[in-house]
Amino acid sequence: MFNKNTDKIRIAILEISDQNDAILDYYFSTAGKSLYTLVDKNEADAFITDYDYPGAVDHWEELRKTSKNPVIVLSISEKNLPNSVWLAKPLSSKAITDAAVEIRKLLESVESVESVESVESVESVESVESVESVESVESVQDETLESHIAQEQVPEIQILENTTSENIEEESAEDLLIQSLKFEDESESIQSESQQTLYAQSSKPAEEKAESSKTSSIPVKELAMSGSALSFDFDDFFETETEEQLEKGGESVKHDDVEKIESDFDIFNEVIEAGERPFATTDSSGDDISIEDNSVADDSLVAEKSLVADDDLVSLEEPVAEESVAENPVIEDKPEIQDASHENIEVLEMTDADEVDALLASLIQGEGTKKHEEEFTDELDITSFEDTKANDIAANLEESIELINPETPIDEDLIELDDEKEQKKANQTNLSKEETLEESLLTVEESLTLAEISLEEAEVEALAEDSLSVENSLPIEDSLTVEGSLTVEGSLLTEDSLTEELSLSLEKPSEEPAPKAEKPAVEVKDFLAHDDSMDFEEPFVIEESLDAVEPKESLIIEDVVMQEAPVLDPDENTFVDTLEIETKDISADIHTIETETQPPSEEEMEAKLEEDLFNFDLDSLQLDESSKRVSVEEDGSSINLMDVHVDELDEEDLPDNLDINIDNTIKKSTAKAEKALIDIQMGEITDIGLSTDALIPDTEISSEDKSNAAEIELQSLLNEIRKEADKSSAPASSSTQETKIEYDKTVAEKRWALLCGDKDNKDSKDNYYRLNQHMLAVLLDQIEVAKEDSKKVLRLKHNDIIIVINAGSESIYCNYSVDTEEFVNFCFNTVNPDNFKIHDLDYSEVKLYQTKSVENPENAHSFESFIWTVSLLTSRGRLLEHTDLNKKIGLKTWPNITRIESFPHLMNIAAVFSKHPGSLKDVPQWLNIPECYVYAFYNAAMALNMIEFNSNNLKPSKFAFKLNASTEKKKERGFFGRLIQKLKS
Amino acid sequence: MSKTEMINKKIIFTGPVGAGKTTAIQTMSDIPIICTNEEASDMTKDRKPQTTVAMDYGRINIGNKEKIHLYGTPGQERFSFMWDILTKGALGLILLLDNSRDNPQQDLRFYLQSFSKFIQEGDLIIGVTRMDEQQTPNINDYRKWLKEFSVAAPVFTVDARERQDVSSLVQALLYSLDPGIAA
Repeated sequence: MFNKNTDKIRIAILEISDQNDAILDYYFSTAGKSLYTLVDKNEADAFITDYDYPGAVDHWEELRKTSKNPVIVLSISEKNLPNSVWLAKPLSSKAITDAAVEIRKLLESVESVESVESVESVESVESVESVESVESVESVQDETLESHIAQEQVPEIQILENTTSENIEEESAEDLLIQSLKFEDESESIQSESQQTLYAQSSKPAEEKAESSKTSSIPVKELAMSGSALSFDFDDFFETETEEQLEKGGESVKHDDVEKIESDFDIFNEVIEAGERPFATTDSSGDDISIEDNSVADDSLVAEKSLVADDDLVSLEEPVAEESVAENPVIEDKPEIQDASHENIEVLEMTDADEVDALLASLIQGEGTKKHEEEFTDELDITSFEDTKANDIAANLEESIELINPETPIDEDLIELDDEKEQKKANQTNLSKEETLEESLLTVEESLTLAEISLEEAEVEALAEDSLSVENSLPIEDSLTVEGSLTVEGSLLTEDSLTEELSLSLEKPSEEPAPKAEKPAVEVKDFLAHDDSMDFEEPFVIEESLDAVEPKESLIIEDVVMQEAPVLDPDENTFVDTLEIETKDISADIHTIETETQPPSEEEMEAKLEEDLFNFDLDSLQLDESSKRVSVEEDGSSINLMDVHVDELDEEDLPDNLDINIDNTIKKSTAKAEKALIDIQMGEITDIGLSTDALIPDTEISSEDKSNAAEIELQSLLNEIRKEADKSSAPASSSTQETKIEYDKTVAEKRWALLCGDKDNKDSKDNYYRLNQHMLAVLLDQIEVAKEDSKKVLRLKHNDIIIVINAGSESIYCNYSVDTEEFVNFCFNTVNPDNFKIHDLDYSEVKLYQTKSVENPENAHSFESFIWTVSLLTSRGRLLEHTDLNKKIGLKTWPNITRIESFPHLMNIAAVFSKHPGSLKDVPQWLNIPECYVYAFYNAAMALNMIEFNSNNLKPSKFAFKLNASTEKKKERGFFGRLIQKLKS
Repeated sequence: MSKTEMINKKIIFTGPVGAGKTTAIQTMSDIPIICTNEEASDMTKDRKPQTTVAMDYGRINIGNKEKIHLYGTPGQERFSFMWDILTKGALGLILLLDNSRDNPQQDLRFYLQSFSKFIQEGDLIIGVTRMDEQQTPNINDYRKWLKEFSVAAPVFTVDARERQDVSSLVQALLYSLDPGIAA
């Protein structure tokens, strides 16, 4: 008997072309070695023939007559020949490997049919003839006779059905045959169906493969003629695994395992013989019978190989949790497959063969389910419901508290609930977090209401970020106490969840935007402070000028407080009004409580006013001439931070003829002032652009003007600007510009020094360097490696510096900018090449770095620009070891100068080497430039393989370069020089 | 140079339609450029609505009397009769190639052949535009093609709208003409 799990397919090559013969020979000796054995025709299980070969069709007919063995048919066009597998030409290794699976199926079919002959339960000659008729179904011509024979063996088959086949029943060819015998009227059609099935299986393997596992398993099983359980072919049940193993190279299930399974099945048969059906269940349709082998002693095997023949294959790979078994106890009277699966899972968890047997026995006695249910229940060790409930309540309570105060959890001991039952009840309803919060807030609310809340003791802050804070100020009242700090995010609080007293106070802070820290005065100050290019003698003059301010507008604040304070009525709306005041005061950044409880001294008030004025949004300072009120509105809102009638101010504090809109003046003047500052900075100012009309007279700040802080601030700012403008009028302006240019030059020169070395150092001892001691060597090597495969992307990592080389796009990404000190040192300093970690990036990593390159374009480079820069930073004007200064060299091609880092005389040097080959010693002399620039160019160009060393390739230039040019040439040179000066400017 | 002597030189910008010749001249010119643009009526309109039919003209002034005249040739081949007229007496040729066109190599070959006579006597600088839009062929491909055509000329990636880039082309041309220019 051919064992598809263990045996190789013995195959013989018939008529075939030399080319395909060679291919097959090679395949059978290499990849197909584990699947096929090339044998003589007489010993073969299967054949290979070329259907396109001359005379192949005749040969095929002959072959079919002499052998029933499956054939691999090679043909260019698809061939649906019975009992064959078509392989398209040209052949591929994979196709032949896949064909092995199909051939095995066909062989199995043949074997299965033949095995029926030895089935003890089918003893009658008619039945044997019937089986044979199935075997030779394609050659059967007399369908009527066939049908008649089939009718005659109905009783035998029915007996079979009632005994063994009942337990093994599945959609097999046997079923179809049985059906055909049962229903005489349909016998012909059923047999035809069976024949078609067999034909379809043997001629359309490719179609079968394309089907799902569920449907693809059917044709094979249809041919599994089962005489008894003992002869039942287990392999059908392991079809999927076996196929997978075949695909993996022909590895089959270990023989020991098969024996084990068969042994297990013996136990199963004993159970069957006992007249019981422990796990065989039938679904409602009765078509499918599931057999679950619970008698398997080796649980590991069971875990891997499910003996579930039902189409709805119950997965045994993942055991279900015990709880689910307990929740869904197996009920014998309920034959649904899902219940059976639970039982099966139970058995899977058995580790001992005896235990399995015991279970089988108990199940036979109808006690197993109950017993195991109890066992599982015991194992679960479920605590009493009440205990669970209590735990849940405690957990929910804790969660509620945490929700109330997520940042500062309240100690559980501090919370005393007067009605514990009520709390438990609340928790039993499994409230959501929001509901729990609401509940908890209500509890807190009750506590707050009942408690004696003293306004003097309460300090409530409406925090800037929409939060409400009650800080350790609530008094304790017997058992109803809420002690400690309570902070609730404003966004979590709703109006409905709070008492009326609280609602208003919660609404306002959340709606009102927080006071903004952005104030023009501060901005201007920062602008001055952070602008390195500016060189003001007194950059913080504004601050200093304001230091001298002694504004009496502190009275305003006092008035605000005094106006608000009478509204307060601790007995009625204590909490509300306090919050309201706090909201306003916080917005204005004024400490109301302090003001209210302890009237500040005049000095303190002045200091506070000064602070407040700094924090005021100057854009919002308004003077309403009609109502004669000075107000400060918070930017973007209608909230009055300050609203004082001018009469309430000391009249002396205001200018005599305050006929200007302060707000607009501030806006315009500040904008102009800033623009003027920028102009000065850029060295482009000739006129500061501020008309004297707009300017406040340049007089010393009088005490009268101190009342208007914004005006004072503007005054000092503009004065400062004007001073600067005066200083840098015409000559000063040009000097500023020169300073800027000088600064730029300095920055550029510093960079050039890093790239090309010190131009004044001509005899440095460090004029040589070793390439293999620098990162450049590793970089160049890895670029070459990456270029070998254009799709390769490599990552070089040295400490925290990462360089990604993408050969496909010829681009490089470096996580450090080439301008950074780290990178400069990394290039210049010697490194150990062994310390580089080189990694071949996969697709996802490549995508990641591509994204980074897009996000940080300054870190993305072309090969050329990166190598150029790195080589410059590496050499820093030095030469490579053993460089011959006298050797004439040329330039193969110009570097892409528009996309590489530039340095002085770059184009001169490139043009000279390109047009007029010369030595490294000559060129600096010709051009009269520091040699470090020539060396730098040489190093960088050499790293890019642009230097031509071969003297044969060095052609004389069309325009001979002459040190002593003619007069005409000098004229032209002068013209070009001026032109270049213009172009560079 | 005497005070009365006036030096006038010209540089030619050439290249296929849409390569950026007019833009480059506009970028460098000290005067408003003179264009002979007409509405494109042929397939040129697929690339841009207007095209140069005779020439573009711009100028770089150096002092009061010294000038560099910048001429742009019409890109379309049918106006090639203008090319010889314009290149006569020019300092050098700046060839702009559009990397996003179908076959830049063919464009390169065409213009090298068309201006072969001038290239033998004068200098050539090549600028490749729109490399950011189309990364292939890359600059090394152009170098390789030039080697195949036995032409030694610098090739740079340029953006015709960027003064620095176009300036580099002109500077490279001037340094190629005389590497000894003192800058």
